[in-house]
Amino acid sequence: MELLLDRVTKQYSNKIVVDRITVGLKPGVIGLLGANGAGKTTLMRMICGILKPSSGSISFEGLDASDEMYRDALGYLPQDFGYYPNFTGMEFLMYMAALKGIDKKSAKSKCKGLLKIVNLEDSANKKIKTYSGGMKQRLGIAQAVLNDPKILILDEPTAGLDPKERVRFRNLIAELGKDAIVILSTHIVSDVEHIADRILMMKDGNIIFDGNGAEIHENLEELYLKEFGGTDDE
Amino acid sequence: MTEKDMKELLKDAYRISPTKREKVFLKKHEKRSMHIWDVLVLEFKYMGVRSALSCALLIFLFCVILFSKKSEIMWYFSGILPISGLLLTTGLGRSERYGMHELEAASRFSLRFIKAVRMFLLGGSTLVILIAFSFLLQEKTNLGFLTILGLVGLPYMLNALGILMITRRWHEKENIFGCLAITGVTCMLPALMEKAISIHVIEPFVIVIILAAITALTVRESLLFIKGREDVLWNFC
Repeated sequence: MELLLDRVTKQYSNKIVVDRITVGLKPGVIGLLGANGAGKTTLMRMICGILKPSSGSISFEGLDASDEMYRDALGYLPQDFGYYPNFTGMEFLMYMAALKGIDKKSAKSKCKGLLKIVNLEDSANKKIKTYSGGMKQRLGIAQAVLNDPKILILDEPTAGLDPKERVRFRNLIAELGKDAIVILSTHIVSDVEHIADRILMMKDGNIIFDGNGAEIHENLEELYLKEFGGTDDE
Repeated sequence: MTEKDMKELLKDAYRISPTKREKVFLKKHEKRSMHIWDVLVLEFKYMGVRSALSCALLIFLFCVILFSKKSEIMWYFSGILPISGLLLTTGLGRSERYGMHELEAASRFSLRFIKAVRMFLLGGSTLVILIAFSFLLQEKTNLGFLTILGLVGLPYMLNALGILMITRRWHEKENIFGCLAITGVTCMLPALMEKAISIHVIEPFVIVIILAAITALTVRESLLFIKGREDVLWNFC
């Protein structure tokens, strides 16, 4: 299994947001690091097939990113997502399961299982509008993995999670990364340094660092601080 | 030939072509059992409170027509029906309004398909009701079916066209005000039409012809809308 990005570029009028990125991604956890505005979200949206690259191509096992079967193998958690009013947690997951093409019977058991994993079992029948930020984020994570995705895209997934939930979430991601390509975008180094098999660092639409294994732990924090100035929001 | 060139040649020779890889993947990756009809039912189920209220309004109108003996009821109905066209706006913009568009766009059934389904459900169901009501109104007015369809359907179709034109070109949430204005104007149209017909300024068959033209434009606009939404989606920043 390989996700191939071939000279992927996104340009808005005279601004290049993502600049000719070529990379092949294999199963495992891939941490996408970069400051706000580095082009991470744009790249993620293109990988998800919801944003068309200005040039270049994205394919997975020969399937183009705009292909229905590509989307069938995809799980996505956007940076910000909403929900229809009056949806309960369970209804939200059932709706997403239907859009992912999962039949009602297996969707129900799958949703229940996932709500248990993300610790929302007791709140399953409560309206989402009564959920806290962390609870909504956990619900978002649950919907992203509903269809057992082969490509899992998580855009700033730990935002709003408390420390205990972060650890739980990291363990879940590490587990998922065994059989899927998990791309986790963040601007917090500690979110990915211990679980990522590979780190891609983005700056001004380019990948400025592509490393893995031991290489990561030695100089990642240092490199990140050097490149992005080490401010809190970066 | 250098060793590097040889390695490249061997790499190329053993590389599985994308189409073959695609076949292998699709063979392993079983397509899920959900069908298009299931999505229709699903979207119908989640149409929301406004849609339910609109249905209730239409059922109420149906009863009023059924038990009314006055022929003017056709004009009242013609004036009220465009309001249901507003549903198109609220229904079609629902994903963006509630921030669900990215999740829906990344799901197997794309946002374009979901929008098309909603348009089919909202527009199509109103059209079915319009035809049913036109049959019913034949007895009350002594006018032909096509004439009634033209008189009742024209304001609705004009409203639908106007709303689609506005929402396709104006993507901000404030487009609802433009749609409200269009609806207001089209709701008043039957009063003008009644006057014009009574003083023979316009013949009913001309209205039928206008309706046919407006319907063709609405279909065109609907197709452009669906295509356009995908463009918006592919290009939002």
